[in-house]
Amino acid sequence: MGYVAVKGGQDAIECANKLVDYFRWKGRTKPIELDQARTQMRLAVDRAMGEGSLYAPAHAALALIQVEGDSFEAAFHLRAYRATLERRYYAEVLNTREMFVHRRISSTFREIPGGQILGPTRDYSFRLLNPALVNATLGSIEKFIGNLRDEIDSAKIHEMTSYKKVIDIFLKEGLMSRQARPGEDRRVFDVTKEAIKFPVPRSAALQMLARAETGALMCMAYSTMRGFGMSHQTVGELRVGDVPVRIVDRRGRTRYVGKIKVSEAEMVGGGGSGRGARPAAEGGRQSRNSAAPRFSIGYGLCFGQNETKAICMGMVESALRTPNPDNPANNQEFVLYHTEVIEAYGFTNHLKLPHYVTFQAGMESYRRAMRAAEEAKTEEVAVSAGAEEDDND
Amino acid sequence: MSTLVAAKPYNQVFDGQEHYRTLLQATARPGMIGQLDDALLDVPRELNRATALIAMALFSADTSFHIAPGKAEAAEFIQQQTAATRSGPEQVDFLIVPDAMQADALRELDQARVGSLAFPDMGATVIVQVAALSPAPMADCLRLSLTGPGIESETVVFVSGAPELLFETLRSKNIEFPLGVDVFLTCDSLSAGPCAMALPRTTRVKWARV
Amino acid sequence: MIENLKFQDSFNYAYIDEFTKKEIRRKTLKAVCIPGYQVPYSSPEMPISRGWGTGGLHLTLSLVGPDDVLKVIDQGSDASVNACNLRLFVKEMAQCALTFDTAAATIIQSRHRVPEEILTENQILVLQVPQPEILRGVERHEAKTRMMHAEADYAKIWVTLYEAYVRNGHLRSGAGHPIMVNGRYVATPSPIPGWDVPNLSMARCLYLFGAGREKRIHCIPPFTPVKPLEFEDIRFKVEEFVGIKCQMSGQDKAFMDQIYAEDFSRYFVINDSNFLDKVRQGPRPPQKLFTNPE
Repeated sequence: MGYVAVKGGQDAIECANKLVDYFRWKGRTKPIELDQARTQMRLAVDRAMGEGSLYAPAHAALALIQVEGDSFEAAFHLRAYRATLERRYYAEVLNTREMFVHRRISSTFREIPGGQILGPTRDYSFRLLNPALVNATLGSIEKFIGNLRDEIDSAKIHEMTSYKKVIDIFLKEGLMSRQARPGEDRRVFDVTKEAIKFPVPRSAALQMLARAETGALMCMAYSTMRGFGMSHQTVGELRVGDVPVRIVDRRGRTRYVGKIKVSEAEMVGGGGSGRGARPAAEGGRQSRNSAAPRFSIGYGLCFGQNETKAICMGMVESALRTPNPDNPANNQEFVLYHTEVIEAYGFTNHLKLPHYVTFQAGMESYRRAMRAAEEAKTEEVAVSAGAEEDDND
Repeated sequence: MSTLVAAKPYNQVFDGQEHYRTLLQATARPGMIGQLDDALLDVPRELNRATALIAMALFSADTSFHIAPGKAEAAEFIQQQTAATRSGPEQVDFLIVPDAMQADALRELDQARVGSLAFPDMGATVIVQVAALSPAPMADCLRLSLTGPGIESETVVFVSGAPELLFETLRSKNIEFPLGVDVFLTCDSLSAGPCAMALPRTTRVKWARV
Repeated sequence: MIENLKFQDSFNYAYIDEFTKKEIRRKTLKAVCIPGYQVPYSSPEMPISRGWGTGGLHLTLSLVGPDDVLKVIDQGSDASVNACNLRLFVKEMAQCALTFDTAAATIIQSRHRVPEEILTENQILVLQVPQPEILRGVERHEAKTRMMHAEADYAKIWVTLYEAYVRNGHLRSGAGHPIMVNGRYVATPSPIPGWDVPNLSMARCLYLFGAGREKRIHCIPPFTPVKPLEFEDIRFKVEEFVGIKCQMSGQDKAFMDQIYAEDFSRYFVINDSNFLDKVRQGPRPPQKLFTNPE
């Protein structure tokens, strides 16, 4: 079939795959079991599920093991797997009021109905490396769980149930409205089935943010707080817990499918003006800012326990609803296109592909220009491979 | 058309793929009559097999279609087989005209979506059932001469069971390119089986009765 | 809690589920109907990275059947690592035949090149597109570029083109020169060299362009006029390989790769690997050549 050494490329790929396995196994350590990854790398699993846009803890754990812990690759594997699944049903809107709460805090008020529940968080721990973990054994784990059990008043467990929302306070006082904004696009859009068109409806923006890369979202949210935005929002309520999922089958019957763990953030800010809410740093005290005509919510929701993402999503979502071309985070196209993890990851890495045809075309263009410049013998036309950078005179 | 019996039951993966390729070729080369390989599929009488096979190949739950009122059996068939939803003629992705000779069907065609300047792809696809399509003249037919993208210079094709009003309506629908509708003319031929010919909005059609 | 412990070990034919395939097929048909217009589509994630040919893959996988013969090239070469990888993926998922022979292929997926050999009516060339929006360089917002296409308002790109001419002394500024398709839409030919651009016009084959990351499909149907943007007095020119012959075949009149030897001297080799094979074996396959205007 010709002289071309096509085998070369194929051989190289096979060898590269082998080397990946070699570097994984060359230390001859015990393989990580799926259950270990799923339970002991819980937050990595949760993050992968969110960015991978698929609630499947075992699959996410497998992905993480397979890719040696790379969060981009793990999300990527889940998305690729997800794309093989047909969307047979759409779930009914999740009702987070039904959430079995693991953790629930508000920084807008000192006390909230139902109480602040700190729950599982590292927020108030010292970030000191803990060498004791190196020596953990199944025995020490059993002992820890046994002790914890003894501390729990089993009668009180049954008191734990669902909680009202903090935003109910605002709604009741008329500080917040359930009304849609005038002209707001309320269509429910599925970004996995259609390409987005600008301006996107809020549902599409929320869906894309929920799938976005956590770090990218954090960068955007952070920028709104320091210099490239005008808002400083407050955590109205942050919840982590399990919510029931229901679908409607083809006969129109509502079916309960199971529970999923989610993080939900309701970020409170002034409607439109970006002012009106007090900084979270002063949190714990009731906001007395009566100058704000209405509060609005920046909404964040993502799979698993990923509080950074939920909060940042809420901030960015809020920023997107007050467009401002001067700030990256207030720009729908900028945020939604560039926080999409699989696209950003793939395209930045595609620079590793050969580009010699395009590069050569560019080089030829420069050579021509150089020839033209020499022929013209004028000094103004200073065109070189670094024309843009060197053009200081 | 029940005389046409195919050997194999319809396979949504492989028949769908083959038929799509035929439709793609036909769309890329207006005037080319694409033959859709038949497969075992119980099709209601109101639909010709070509229309049914196109629906099977292209429709899914996120697609909407309309077929003239009174063709309940056909609508039911498409809905059952493809999960596509029914809607009004002015809203749908696919508009099926079961009989091109019926004047009211052409009035519905006049309502079909033409898309917007920003999104002209939102223009509807119209499937028109005709009596016959042929590269050679037939009794009582229209001679279509076609020019435009996909055609080297000019293609001539003959169609029977379609009134001049159909092509007048299409011309007025497609007058403001890129707005417009894209058409498949379909028929079942005894010799060639289910056939489809495309008239995308870019095709300029001149017709004459022969 | 929702937890599915069953792992999938097989895939739908051609990987993509039928529901999504149909969507891609409907959008592709619309792209054929509106030459040069970018049709938005779902663009599902693939197990291949974004920017590495997912758009091309979507098209190829929505087209391919067991009877197809597939050729995949990258930078003109069948041997490129990414081409090998994509080819293997499609074969595993679709059990189609593979070839390096340009003439034998029914579907050719390519990145950055149009094959030298003339393609026929039975062939589809799928081009991978990194940035489908040719106007992105002059207007960064999608909503605005879409309106520019809607109104056929191409003033900005003409200005840019003229500025490039003033700066560089010629019109073409590298790969992916803007083209006018069927007299209506300005589009990208994908980052192919200027050498390949004339091949797009009034061709016998169908050209499909897939931009996965940006979720757009566009098309140049057969026998459709395609013109590189140029001015009446400043004409578009393809690369000239004057006085250059291929080191391996001794032939000229093909797009050449420049190769640097150990001593940094330069020599040239025909870029299209299958074309090179064929000219070395002879006879030379049919080619459409473009003569630069003076």
